[in-house]
Amino acid sequence: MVTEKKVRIGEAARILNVSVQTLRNWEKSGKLLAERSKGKQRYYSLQNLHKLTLNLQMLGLAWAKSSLPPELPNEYYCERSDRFTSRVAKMGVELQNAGSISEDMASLLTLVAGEIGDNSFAHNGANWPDIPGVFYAYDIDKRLIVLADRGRGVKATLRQIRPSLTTDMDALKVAFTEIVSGRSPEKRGNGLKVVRNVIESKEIGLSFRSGIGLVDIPIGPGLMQIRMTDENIRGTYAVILF
Amino acid sequence: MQTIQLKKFGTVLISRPAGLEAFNAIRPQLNQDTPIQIDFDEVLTVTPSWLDEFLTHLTDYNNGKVELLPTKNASVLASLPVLREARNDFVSATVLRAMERMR
Repeated sequence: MVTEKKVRIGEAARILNVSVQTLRNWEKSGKLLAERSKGKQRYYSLQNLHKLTLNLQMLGLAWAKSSLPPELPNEYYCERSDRFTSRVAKMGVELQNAGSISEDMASLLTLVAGEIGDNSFAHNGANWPDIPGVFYAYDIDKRLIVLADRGRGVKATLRQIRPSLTTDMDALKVAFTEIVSGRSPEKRGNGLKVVRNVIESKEIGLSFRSGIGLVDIPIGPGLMQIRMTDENIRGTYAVILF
Repeated sequence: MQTIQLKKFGTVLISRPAGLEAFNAIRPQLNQDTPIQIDFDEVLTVTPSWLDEFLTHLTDYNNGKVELLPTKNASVLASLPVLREARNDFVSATVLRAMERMR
């Protein structure tokens, strides 16, 4: 049955700004499936079309920096770590099945996304300033993963064991480069060091922001740079490109 | 020798709490006096946080008699150098032995 929330292929092409032939190709490849009417005409769900038009980077950024958080599609919001973990595992399987991505790359991208998102939960615990959890979205076709949280940020969490840290840039440098061995009273991970090593040595790019600090690692083998930005991020915001 | 196949905990292993949970789940089946080997076969990803937590409890439990079976898993190979550097204990020794075997 055709409902008012569905449109025909011409309208779908106009909404997505692609050709009708592109939509037919997407149907063949499974990227965007159409339903068929009794007359065999294609109909597209408006909801599915809007998902494709979402700019994941802008949505994640809005989640990380806005005083009032935007409403998120349920599939991009992980309130608790168990939901995040299961979604990362799902992404891992999708990366493995993507065909164009090697097993090693699937393993490492899953590590990078898993470690960054898990840090948000590990470092904020029960102390989320307003809304708990992470924004987590990915688009394997666009080779993009976005994570964001509205937590306390890297500087505030690291200052618990390094009270002398004064800037967001210094905090990011410690987080991504120094082995933090203190395990008491709070267990400290060294996961971001592994993340940096992986990204610097592989065809993966990272932009990681917290406060006014930015960690930038170019896609393709290249070294990390830390800079100051003119825009404050409440917790953390990460864009992974591959 | 006892072998722990990590795939029984899942193919993607993330977070310290999950690493501890895995250890607690397997502990009743372990003999403290028998060496343990860890098999990464069929696991897609282990994060350093999960591995650190799991190995810390496991090596404490049986006084460091833990070996990592050779693996080509990219996430494991990426995590081992930092785990070795970060620690000076049973975990570090276990990781160092594994890295030397896989050279």
